[in-house]
Amino acid sequence: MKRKLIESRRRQPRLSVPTSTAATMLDVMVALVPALVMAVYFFGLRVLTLTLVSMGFSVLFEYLYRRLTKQSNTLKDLSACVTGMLLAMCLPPTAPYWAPVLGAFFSVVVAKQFYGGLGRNFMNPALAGRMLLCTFPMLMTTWSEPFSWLPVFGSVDAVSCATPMSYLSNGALPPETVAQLFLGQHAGSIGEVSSLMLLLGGAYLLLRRVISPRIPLSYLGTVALLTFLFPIEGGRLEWMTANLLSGGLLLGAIFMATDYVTSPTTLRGQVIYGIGCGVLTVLLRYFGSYPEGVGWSILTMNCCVWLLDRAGRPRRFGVPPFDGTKRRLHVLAENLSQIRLVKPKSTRFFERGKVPGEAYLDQVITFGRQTAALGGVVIGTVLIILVVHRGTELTTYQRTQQQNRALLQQVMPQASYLTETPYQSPNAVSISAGYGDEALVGYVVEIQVPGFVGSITMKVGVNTDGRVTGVAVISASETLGMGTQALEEDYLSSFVGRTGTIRSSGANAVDTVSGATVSSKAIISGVNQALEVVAMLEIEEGGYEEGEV
Amino acid sequence: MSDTQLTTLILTALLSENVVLVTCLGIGTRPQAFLDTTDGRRTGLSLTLVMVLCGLLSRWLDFFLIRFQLTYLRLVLFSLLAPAVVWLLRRATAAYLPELSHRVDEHLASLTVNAAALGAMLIASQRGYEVGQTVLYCLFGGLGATLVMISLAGLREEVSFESCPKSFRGPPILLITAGLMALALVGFYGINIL
Repeated sequence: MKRKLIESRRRQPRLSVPTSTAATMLDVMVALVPALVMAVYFFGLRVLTLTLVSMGFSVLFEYLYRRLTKQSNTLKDLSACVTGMLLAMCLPPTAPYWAPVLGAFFSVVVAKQFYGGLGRNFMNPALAGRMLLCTFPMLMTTWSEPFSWLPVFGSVDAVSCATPMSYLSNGALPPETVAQLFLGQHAGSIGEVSSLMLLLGGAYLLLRRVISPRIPLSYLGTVALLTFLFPIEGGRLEWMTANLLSGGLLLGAIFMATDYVTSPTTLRGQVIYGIGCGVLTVLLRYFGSYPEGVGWSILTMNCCVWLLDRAGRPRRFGVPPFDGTKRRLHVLAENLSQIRLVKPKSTRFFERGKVPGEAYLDQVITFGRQTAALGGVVIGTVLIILVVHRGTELTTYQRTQQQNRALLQQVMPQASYLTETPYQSPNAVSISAGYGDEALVGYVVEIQVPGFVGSITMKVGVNTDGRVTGVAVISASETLGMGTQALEEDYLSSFVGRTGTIRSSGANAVDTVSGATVSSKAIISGVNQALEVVAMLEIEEGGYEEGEV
Repeated sequence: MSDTQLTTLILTALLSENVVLVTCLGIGTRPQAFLDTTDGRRTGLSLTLVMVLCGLLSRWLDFFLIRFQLTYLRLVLFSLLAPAVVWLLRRATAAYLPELSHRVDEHLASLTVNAAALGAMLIASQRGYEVGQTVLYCLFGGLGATLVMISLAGLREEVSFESCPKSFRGPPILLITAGLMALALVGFYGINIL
């Protein structure tokens, strides 16, 4: 009898998850499209051309690099396209066309291909390109209003306006409503404006199982918690929502931090990565000098991913918890216990039958021979320095007096000479009193403030009415050409006559020099400190009479 | 200095003026420190100790220099102070703690003319830090250097640096990596806790 084969009509189970790199990358691009379309709606077709330029040049650079180094063509995995698209999403719509080209070169060639291509880089390529462009100050700080469509060709004379992020980093609530922030009707970079579209894209990626919710949730959760606990202005919920919806946070949390290659593979490592990114983002948003913190925080965490992978390794079956830590502590304790204090072999100073100290004589002679050359050079150098110092002392003195006179002219022109005072203040390096025509004109306070690079030492003259008579910068190491604009005389002379607490915007404001915000703010805070110091002096001065010591 | 200013000082020393990546001071003396984690850890901790001791002694030396108006001798005397401290440390560990000396002597030897110690002393002198602030600055500067050395060594072990172009293997790709890490630290420039 023939056995009838059982024919099953059921198909074999097939899972519809993306199985190739190209499919994953295509999903990411599809998820970015809603945000891109919204940006085109707000800022015009220039957005589209910027994105196409960025993607085109990323692809071109990858193709050229692989071709010139005689390696396989990896364009098919679409990773270069995604890098280009993400890079364009981070640019402001007013960016010139060379910006995505430079960024694409840095991202694709330096941050990715130099390490061997996809999967071998340790730093998020699109983010590396974006952060390189951030170091060009004017590039990333001119934004345009939504609905003022920008020209596709030619230079852009956009009406520069403030983004919600710039308000937040100054410690103020942005004026846009939550709905505006959510839909995207505010200034910002191309990809970050529309939170709604980004969340839609994120939902798509989650549904397609391209990203796991662990990193975005831990990142956003940490930021939400920290901004809820430590609001700067406004109610807690208001501040938290404004922070979550502004800046590149959603773009970074959903698309950048979840990059497979540069985020940890272990589960606990991923959570720690998200939390670390969140903490650094909030830290940089509150206290950093750039008006954004997402990119820098993700880049910094990228450098620690190798550590997080090791820390997040799951426990082997059968091994008790903290076994690895305990073992390491044992090894450390063993090593430390080996290091014991030893009584060295000592030579006695007084020994029978020998001259006191004879035993040491050999050591001293050997030491002398060894260091004779060095000693000779040192003594020679010190002698030369002494002689030169003596010889040039007079000229130095005269030059210093000249400089002091010029400084006095700039700082307190009404005074004819300065004397040191015994007053001290924790904020001030020194306090001198300026006298002119036998009457006290005011005080010159020397202040040190942290600038963008290092600290700025400045002298501020405040007259007895509490008004600034002049500001001079003695030493600073700000960025040449950019930060130093805030140290020039025209800017410093705008402080003359001011009193009270000087702000950088609003009432009693001195405008910051564009491109040198941190340096300008440092000068402003220095002047404020000097005004405070003199105000405290006037209050405490009662009781000191002329001639008393 | 208030607490927030001290925190700013600590963050500055650790991140935005990181001795290895930003001010590029403590680098050239020992290449193995950037290639091996144990080596990096030991060199970094020795550097921290040397920096803290140099910072302490330099504030006292500076006080005497200012008192006797010999500030023009500051650079020469500071340059001698760092190797003197290292020499003393090496002799002391060799005599009293020989096991520690076995582990740490080569690292201390490579630190004899380290620019980080001299740099920290000069920075503290220029900015007029007091003794406590100098110790904090040197401590966290050294710890920042240690972290960077361990990170570079760890990255080297985890990320295969052999898939890069042949001419990039070894120091070139390490320098590029260090550059990318320094780029990540640019975001911390000018950090100021108010």
